[in-house]
Amino acid sequence: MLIINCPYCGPREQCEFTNGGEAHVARPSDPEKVSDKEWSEYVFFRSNPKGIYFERWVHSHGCKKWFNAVRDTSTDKVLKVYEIKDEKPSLADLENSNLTTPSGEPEVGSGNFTVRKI
Amino acid sequence: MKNLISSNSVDIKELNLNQILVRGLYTPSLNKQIKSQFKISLPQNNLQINQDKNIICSKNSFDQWSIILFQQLEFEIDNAIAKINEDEKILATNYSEGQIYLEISGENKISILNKITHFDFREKHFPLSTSAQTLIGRVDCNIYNLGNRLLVTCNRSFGDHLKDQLIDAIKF
Amino acid sequence: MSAKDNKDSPYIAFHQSVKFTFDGVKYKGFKGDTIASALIRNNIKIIGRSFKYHRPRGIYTCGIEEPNALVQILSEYSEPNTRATVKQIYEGLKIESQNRWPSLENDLSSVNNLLSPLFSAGFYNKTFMKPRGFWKKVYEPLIRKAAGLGKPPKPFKTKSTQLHHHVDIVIVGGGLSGLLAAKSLAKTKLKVLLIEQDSYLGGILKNSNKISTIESKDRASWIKDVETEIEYSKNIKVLKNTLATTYNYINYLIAIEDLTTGMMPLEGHADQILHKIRADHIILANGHIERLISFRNNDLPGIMLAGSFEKYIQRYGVIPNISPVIFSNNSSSFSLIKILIDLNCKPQAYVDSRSGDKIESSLLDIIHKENIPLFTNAHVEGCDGKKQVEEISIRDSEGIITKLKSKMLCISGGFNPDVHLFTQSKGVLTWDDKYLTFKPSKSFQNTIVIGSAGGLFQYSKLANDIDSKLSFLNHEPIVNINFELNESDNYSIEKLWETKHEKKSRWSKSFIDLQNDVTTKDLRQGIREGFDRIEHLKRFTTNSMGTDQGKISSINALGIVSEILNKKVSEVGTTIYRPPYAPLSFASIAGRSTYNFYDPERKTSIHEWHKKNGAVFENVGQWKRPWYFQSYLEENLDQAVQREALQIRKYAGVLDGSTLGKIEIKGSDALEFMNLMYTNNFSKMKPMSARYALMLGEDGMIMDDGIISKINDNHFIATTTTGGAAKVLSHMEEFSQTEWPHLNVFMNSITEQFCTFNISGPKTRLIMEKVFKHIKFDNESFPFMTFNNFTYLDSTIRILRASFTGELGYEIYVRPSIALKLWEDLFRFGKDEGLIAYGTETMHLLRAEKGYIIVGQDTDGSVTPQDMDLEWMIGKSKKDFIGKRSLTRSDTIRSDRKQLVGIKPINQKNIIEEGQHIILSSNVKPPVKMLGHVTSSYMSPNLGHSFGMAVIKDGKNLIGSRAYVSSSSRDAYEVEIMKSVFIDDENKRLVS
Repeated sequence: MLIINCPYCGPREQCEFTNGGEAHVARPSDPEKVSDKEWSEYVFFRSNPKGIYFERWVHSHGCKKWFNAVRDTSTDKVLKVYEIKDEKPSLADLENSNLTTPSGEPEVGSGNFTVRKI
Repeated sequence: MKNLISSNSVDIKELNLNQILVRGLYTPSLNKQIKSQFKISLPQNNLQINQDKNIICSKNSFDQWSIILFQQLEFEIDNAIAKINEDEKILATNYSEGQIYLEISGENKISILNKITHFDFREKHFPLSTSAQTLIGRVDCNIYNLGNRLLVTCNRSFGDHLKDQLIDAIKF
Repeated sequence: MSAKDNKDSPYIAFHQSVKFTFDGVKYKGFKGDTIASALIRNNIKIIGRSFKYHRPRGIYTCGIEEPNALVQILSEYSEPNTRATVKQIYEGLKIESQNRWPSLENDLSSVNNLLSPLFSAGFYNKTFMKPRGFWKKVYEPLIRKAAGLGKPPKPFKTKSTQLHHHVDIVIVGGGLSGLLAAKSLAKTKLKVLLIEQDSYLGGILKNSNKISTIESKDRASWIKDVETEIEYSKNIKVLKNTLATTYNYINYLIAIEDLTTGMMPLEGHADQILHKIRADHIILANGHIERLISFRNNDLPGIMLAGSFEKYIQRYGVIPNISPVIFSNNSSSFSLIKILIDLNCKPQAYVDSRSGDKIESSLLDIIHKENIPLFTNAHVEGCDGKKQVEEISIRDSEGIITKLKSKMLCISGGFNPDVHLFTQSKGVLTWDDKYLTFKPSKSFQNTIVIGSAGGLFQYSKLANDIDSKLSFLNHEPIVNINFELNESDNYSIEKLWETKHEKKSRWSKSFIDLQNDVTTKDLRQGIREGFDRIEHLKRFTTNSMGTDQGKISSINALGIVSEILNKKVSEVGTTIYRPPYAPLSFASIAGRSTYNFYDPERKTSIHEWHKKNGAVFENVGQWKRPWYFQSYLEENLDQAVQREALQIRKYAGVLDGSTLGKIEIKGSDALEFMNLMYTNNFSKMKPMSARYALMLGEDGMIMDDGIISKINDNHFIATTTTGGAAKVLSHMEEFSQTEWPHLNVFMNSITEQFCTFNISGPKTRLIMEKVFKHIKFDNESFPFMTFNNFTYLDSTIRILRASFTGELGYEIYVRPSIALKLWEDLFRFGKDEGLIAYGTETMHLLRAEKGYIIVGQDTDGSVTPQDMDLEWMIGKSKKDFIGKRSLTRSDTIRSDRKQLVGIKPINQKNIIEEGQHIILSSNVKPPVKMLGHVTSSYMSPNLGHSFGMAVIKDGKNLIGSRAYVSSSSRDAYEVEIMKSVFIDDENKRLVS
């Protein structure tokens, strides 16, 4: 169970939070002007990368505020937490995540290091 | 005021308090309004509690304050709330009757609470005169660190469940 | 060759005998004995039968890594698979061996051993497939009976509790390294928790003879002194009988404490504590585990790991056999040989796979001095015996076999640092070529590994190891410890995973995983069949998949596999170590959240009145709501509902609607926000009026509904369904905070701040006028869908004129403190007018007669407002609201969408059932096209027949036509499709 640093309440256990899916998915400012495809992508499609992922959390059993986080999905390390109103951080701003391979498999922390190619 | 349990170096009392939940962004005029109604000013730092004789005011998050009164009659509260609500940018709600209020004191209070909540009560995470919103016994609660005692509030309909769990934690 | 007590052991109370029963026979042990040590004392050799082949098995080890000695504890709740090597005995303990019938001595299933060539690797994946019908009737019942090792436990209500810790440091393991680390942290300000799985601290100091003196003290005194020092320090807490089972992220340790060690657990009392520990740093000092060697029949009772044999002598005060044969590939046997000699015993022989020039001189010296037969450069080829070891075959470097008659063989295949917790923490292991094992290398979290758990096997380096790793904590440096050892400080080992069999028979078995009966032959077969990745091989052979997780053999398997594949062991890798480290009961995981604490029971302020007045309750989420009221004790649901429904449409009824959500919304942009949240246009609404509103998701589907009361453009109160209350509030907060933070609007939940009474029926106005003498309820003063605040008993109440039943009605919002008084007043004045209390079932029936939908009953997240014939609720001139754009997607504008209609059976005796399919014809030959289904269905006393609401493809255009409702239990019956309003479709009653 992760420890997530709520920008308003401080570090708390993951059970107090609810994951809110991908962050920075903009709602089209004029829904009437977008095509069915564009609108459906906003409603239904979210990316699912292995590695750096920008996501939202809400402190549902705490202050009930929404905020953003950057998490390495292969190790579950939360690299940064920032407020909903803040700009999307650039990769350079982030703590050193140990992504090394093209597929995003870090040497330490993903738990899959034992699987070797023979 | 009701004595729920006094055992194992923990005392739990159930209190009848009044509470107003204020939503809005901090402005000097809001602070002035609160001061005139309740004689206490709004804390500006998140999670901070301002305390006076019979009243505490806690900032729960950047746009929410709880004002808890240890004694006042209902009609005066409704009037005070109406006055605050005159500002269209502010929402003040009477939360008095929908909550239960438990005062937990005694040497063993933290070790008992550690049986039913994951919350970190250490001084560096939960200093004196601060508040927090968390889960105790899987019930959403507000806790207020008033030094030798903790004030714990939760929704009335969860009240029985929380009280039973606290008593059970003291006994086992 | 029987067992002998070692009365020098301070951990056994030899003056306190304890009686227990094993397989119906009474035995005696001593306080402090485990089941295993007590059985060893009584010379019991066979303790169970193996999983697949039902071979007789004995006690193999002296700890939690035990693969064979699993027993069923009958005297408590019949817990199966209890490790006899860990469970301490108490007076009256009743134990049963497992996996045998009719008895341990004569197990009929040992025929499996004869059939064993059929049960090779991959057996589970290849068999029981044909004939197809046989699975359900023959194979599955048989397998269920044969499966598992023990029998399922019985219910036994002890209290399992949990405890949360927040500390600076956790030290896992109270052995030599752990105690040294704790000692060095004693005077710091850090909050330390030391966890030890045994009842005593000491680890290798108490479990073996390896250390003669430490810091010039004898072992027991040194342990005692350190324990006292820790006790006096204010900052270190010790938990004994506590096993760390799981190392989660982030530095989150789960440990299970046994409160009833050596005692009978009592019902209603706490027997376990599950500790949930968050620490800034975790120090793993959990030591190492010995491993076996594979050879022919290495599973016979009478074979035991050498270190375990030594632990029985030191820790449990019993010498299992006074003259064992010892077989090793490493230097660790000196201490065992020495203690046997010191206790006037003598090993029958010592077999070392290393050549004489590689063996330590101290070891050779004691062997020569005591005249112990020595075999170097030799292997144990195999063991033979009927149900236990009787003869041991030793093969020397020239291939000559010597057979020794013996009943006990101690084996040592080397040591593995116990890396389970380290790898659970997602740390990386590395292969150590000198010690031929895996050891921790890179940590992922704040993990420090000290001592043998980190792959350090030299006592002289221990102080430096701990000092260098803990220096950042400003501990008190150890600098140096002087040891007097009963073994070489230079542990050395030569590779030996398996010895070669002499005979090659189908039945000769050399085991790798004892618990799951996996042989080395199975590993080879698996690789031959293509499972050359270690994770695949594990599943195919079930190696290390037992409750012991292959602790004494999994590394051996990797060694063997690496040889077969001609790869380095580091290339073969390990399988993932999964928590828990040892079996964890569900009761401990559930903790207090069982029985009455499983889920909170939420009650309204009127609950006690409901109880006293015949309410039968139903669960709506966590709430208890009256389902119906019994007017006499035997009245059942159907009778009550028919009565209530008639009464309300004739006179009046009141429902406790306090559980429905209520949200207060205010802000200078509240109107704009509400217009975005709901389908309706609230702009033209007059203040103090109310409207029924729909809330959609962004996919255009109905999410919730409620009544919106507008106080003014800046101030609204919204109601929600009971189940949707929290969801709607979160939904509002989400959009307000993340999508439209520029809008000045705030929401507070007021569900608990008011009780809600829904009173409706023709007599309602009369009753309200009597209760509230000063309020005017006529149509002019109080129109339909308007509300106002009034005073009642010095409190402010709000009354809204609205109804869900289709009768003239009102909703009263009142503070909990006076709610019951008001409710009773309603009855005081209303009883004579025929007022009754009614429950949710009647409410469902009455609203259905009006065609009102219930979100979650008639909707399922896949219906739009148009589908529900509620298009009129969409504000046409609104540019945008959540879900609007989705209503014009190609999927939502389809003409054959399921639409809400009413259905009535042609034969009035038929009762429609909810969930039934709507079909075109009564000819039910597959494939049958499903047109829709029945969402709500009731028997209506007001209509005199049953009716239902259904969603049918293109339903609007089918109104007036006929269809059929199918049923699995009887023939399909004919229904008429009609509009969904059955009563008062002009709404005359509502506005009367």
